Amino acid sequence: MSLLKIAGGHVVDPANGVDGVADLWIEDGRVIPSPADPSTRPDQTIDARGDIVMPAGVDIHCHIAGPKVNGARSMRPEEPRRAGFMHRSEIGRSGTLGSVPSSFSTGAKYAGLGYGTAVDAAIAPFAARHTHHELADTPIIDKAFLILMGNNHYVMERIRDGDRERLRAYLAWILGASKAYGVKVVNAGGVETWKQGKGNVSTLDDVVPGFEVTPRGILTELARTVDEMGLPHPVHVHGQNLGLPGNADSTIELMTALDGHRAHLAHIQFHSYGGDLRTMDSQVGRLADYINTHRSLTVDVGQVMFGETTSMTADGAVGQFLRKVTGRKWLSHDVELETGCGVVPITYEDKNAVHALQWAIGLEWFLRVDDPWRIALSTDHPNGGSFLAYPQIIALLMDRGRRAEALAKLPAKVRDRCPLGDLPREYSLNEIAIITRAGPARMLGMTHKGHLGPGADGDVTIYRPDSDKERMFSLPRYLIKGGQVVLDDGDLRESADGSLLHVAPERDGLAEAEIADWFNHRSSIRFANYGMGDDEVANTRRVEVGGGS
Amino acid sequence: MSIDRSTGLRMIEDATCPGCGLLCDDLTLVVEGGRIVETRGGCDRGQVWFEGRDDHSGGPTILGRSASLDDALGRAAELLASAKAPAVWGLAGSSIEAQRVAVSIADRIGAVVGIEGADPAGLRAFQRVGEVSATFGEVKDRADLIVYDAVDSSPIPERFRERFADEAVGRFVPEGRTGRTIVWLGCSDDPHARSSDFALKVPKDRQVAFYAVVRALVNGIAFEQEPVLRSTGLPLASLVEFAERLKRAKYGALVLGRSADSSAESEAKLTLVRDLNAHTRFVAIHVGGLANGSGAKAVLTWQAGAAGDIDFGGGYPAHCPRDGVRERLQRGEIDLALIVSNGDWPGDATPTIPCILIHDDHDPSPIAGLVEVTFPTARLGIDEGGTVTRTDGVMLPLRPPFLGRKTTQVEVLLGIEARLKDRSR
Repeated sequence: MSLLKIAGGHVVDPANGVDGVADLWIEDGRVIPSPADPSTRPDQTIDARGDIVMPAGVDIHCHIAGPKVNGARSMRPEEPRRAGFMHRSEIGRSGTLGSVPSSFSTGAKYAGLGYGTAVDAAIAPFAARHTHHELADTPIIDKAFLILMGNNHYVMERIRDGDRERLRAYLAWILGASKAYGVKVVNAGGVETWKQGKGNVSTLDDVVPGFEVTPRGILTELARTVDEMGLPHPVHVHGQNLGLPGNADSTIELMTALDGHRAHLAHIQFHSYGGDLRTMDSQVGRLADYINTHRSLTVDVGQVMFGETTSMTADGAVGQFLRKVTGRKWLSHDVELETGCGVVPITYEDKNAVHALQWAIGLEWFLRVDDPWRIALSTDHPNGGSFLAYPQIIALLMDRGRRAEALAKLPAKVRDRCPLGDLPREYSLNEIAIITRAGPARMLGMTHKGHLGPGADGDVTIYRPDSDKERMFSLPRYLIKGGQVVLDDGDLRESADGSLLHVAPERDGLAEAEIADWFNHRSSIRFANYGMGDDEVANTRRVEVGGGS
Repeated sequence: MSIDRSTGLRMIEDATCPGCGLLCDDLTLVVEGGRIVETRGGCDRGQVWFEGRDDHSGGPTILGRSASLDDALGRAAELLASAKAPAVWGLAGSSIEAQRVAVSIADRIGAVVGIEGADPAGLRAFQRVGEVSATFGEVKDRADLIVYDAVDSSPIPERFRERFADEAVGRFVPEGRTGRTIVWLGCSDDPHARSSDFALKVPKDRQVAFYAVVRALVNGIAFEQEPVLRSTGLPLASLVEFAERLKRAKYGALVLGRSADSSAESEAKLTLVRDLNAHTRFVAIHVGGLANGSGAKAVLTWQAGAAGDIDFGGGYPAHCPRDGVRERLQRGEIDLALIVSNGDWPGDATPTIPCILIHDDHDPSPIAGLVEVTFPTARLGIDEGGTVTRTDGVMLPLRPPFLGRKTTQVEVLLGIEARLKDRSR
């Protein structure tokens, strides 16, 4: 039994409507109500008077593990030479920094930023075993990942056949077998089309060659099935035409197609452009209006920040496009039956009008979505920039003067083609707490994360108030993870393993026998060697699947 | 696992074979008592792996004398803790689980790490230009053109051809062999060349020129006949025909055996494949190598940022290409080596520095000399389990029939690490 008291801090806990001075008690890793007995003595007390106390951060969309991320590290040894290293210490392993930090650095840097949970948004189930090994070497934070389903052959065949029962059985099996958290769709049907050398899909009603299904069919059937199964997180969608001028029309089409379903639209900034390469402009206004009026949809932003980073995506076609645009080295990897993968280094430059417009469009999104519970902070790490840029973004959101100053330095075209400069909104601390922890946790259906009510995980960040918000959020004083003080007055003092969060929907043995037969005829590995054994993943934590219908 | 009704023998199905980096996972092991008596579905190499002699069951030694495991672990930790410039070498025959601990030890003691059988020239090429690749199943499903590059006589594993390529039936190649064009690059008198649809004899020392000219042709650049003949040893017409064939493919695969290529040769191949994607889909596929060399590279990359030659000596993982274990040994800059391997030592056959040796006891280690501490351990897939990685990055579990009967590599490495932790407290 260990009892921790965080005394006298200004608690910002939007999920529970708390925004004021209070004590917080954590026992055995969970938040408990303040003891009724005033003589109760904690084992440890943190004096938080004058400080801001929030739930630890939750990153809903990042790329931190698996063969794609590791391929980027391997291809880019120049990154740590630029960005440096993390030295070995008494409590932690050494590592590399840069846009794709090594696994130990990733865990430590998230913790140093006051984050307690990160969700890798794009793992091929084929790569689940690799991912679990790598996440086991990613310390401190809790981890989860979403599996790529939007170009999966079995999924497309069952949707073509209208076999909803088998589709549901398949999702239950593959989520359980890969110990994943949720379902991701990347450019539905488009990756398969590209893998066949037949270009890409560009509308929801294009037909995927050889499968006779449309992106619309894939998206709506997966969204419906995920809803029916009661998965904690809705279908998580990377739409069509990512990064292409004029893609806002297809984004509206996507939102409309998903109407009536729960869905999360990822890195929405990259899908919000009008015009063509010459006339590209922001279309956030009409897209944000749609989000504001359709409560079943949520978004994360995928904010672009200026500097060197690495693009990485399961959308193989985008990888090839970026190789063509940048002329830089390119890693592409097709994964049988499931997906593609593209990795290309990229430098976002403030003098480049397109990049500058992307930066402005991301910020415009934050300011145009009325309800902060529906929009999450992300850079789509490392695609738009590193997660380490979050404090800079927070500062821009909280201070319109800072935004105006930054905007003034950008090419004039940006001010003509994006109304960012006209938006006076400034985020409050409470709203920042929503878009960085409470909101993402709610979107993910992690009921034990993102708040500080009784029963919540004892994941807490304590900040020293500072007029410089970037500094305040870059240097939290404390991170308490599962009740353990990890970051102690600014120093990383303890390491821990963190948990692997996953779902385990009820499975259908008869259907699985058929799936096994299908798989053994088509895959390069045996069905028996595909799923994770129960003893293969340590520190697992199962998140319940709600009452499916 | 199942029991054969006619013989009553135990059968381990879907077993993964660590005989080479292909890691076929469709073998059936027939077990009688404490031995594997039959290996169904594998190649000769697999049979030797699983059914080879197993009479080296000695325990740990210190300076050649039998020692308890505890004493041997203690001595190993003592040596590692006091080393000034240690190396960790091998790892390509170890499980992911063992590799993770070995790299952790290297980090703790500030060692330089080298992976046995690594291809540093290939890695340099990859770091310069990237790579367009795929899992093996994509070749099976899609490849209507398969180019085997055996110019340097690298063996292409037969089971790769059988399971995923020549005869394999795939979604977009339902006809199997008749739906695929097979091109053999190598020696024209090679028997494989005769079984292919098309063969080109490419002189080993002209590979860079050959691939560069083909790439240029693919990119629409015209050549005069004479300089092409002079630089590649081949007539222009045959290269033009080859380039056109590559472009006509719907999904082509350039299959590369375990490489002895220079960096320039690797780069010439990777860039040709990359540029072909402006016309069609094309991928580079690596086959062969040691059981888990790809796993060692993956672990070193996620823990230390690069796929080989890492120096933890400064307290952080510095990538040190061309200045790895081999080079430092030659300069006399290593004072102790932790070797996790059954293969060759990168220095002289007889190390002249003290070594700690962890090796699979089914084969005698070729390393002798100044071995201070030896840990004979279990063999992967037989009495040691864990995870291994194919050369296409797919990780697979092992199904050892005799888990628990011998000390495993993971146990030894964890034991050393635990003692190192104790010493630093």
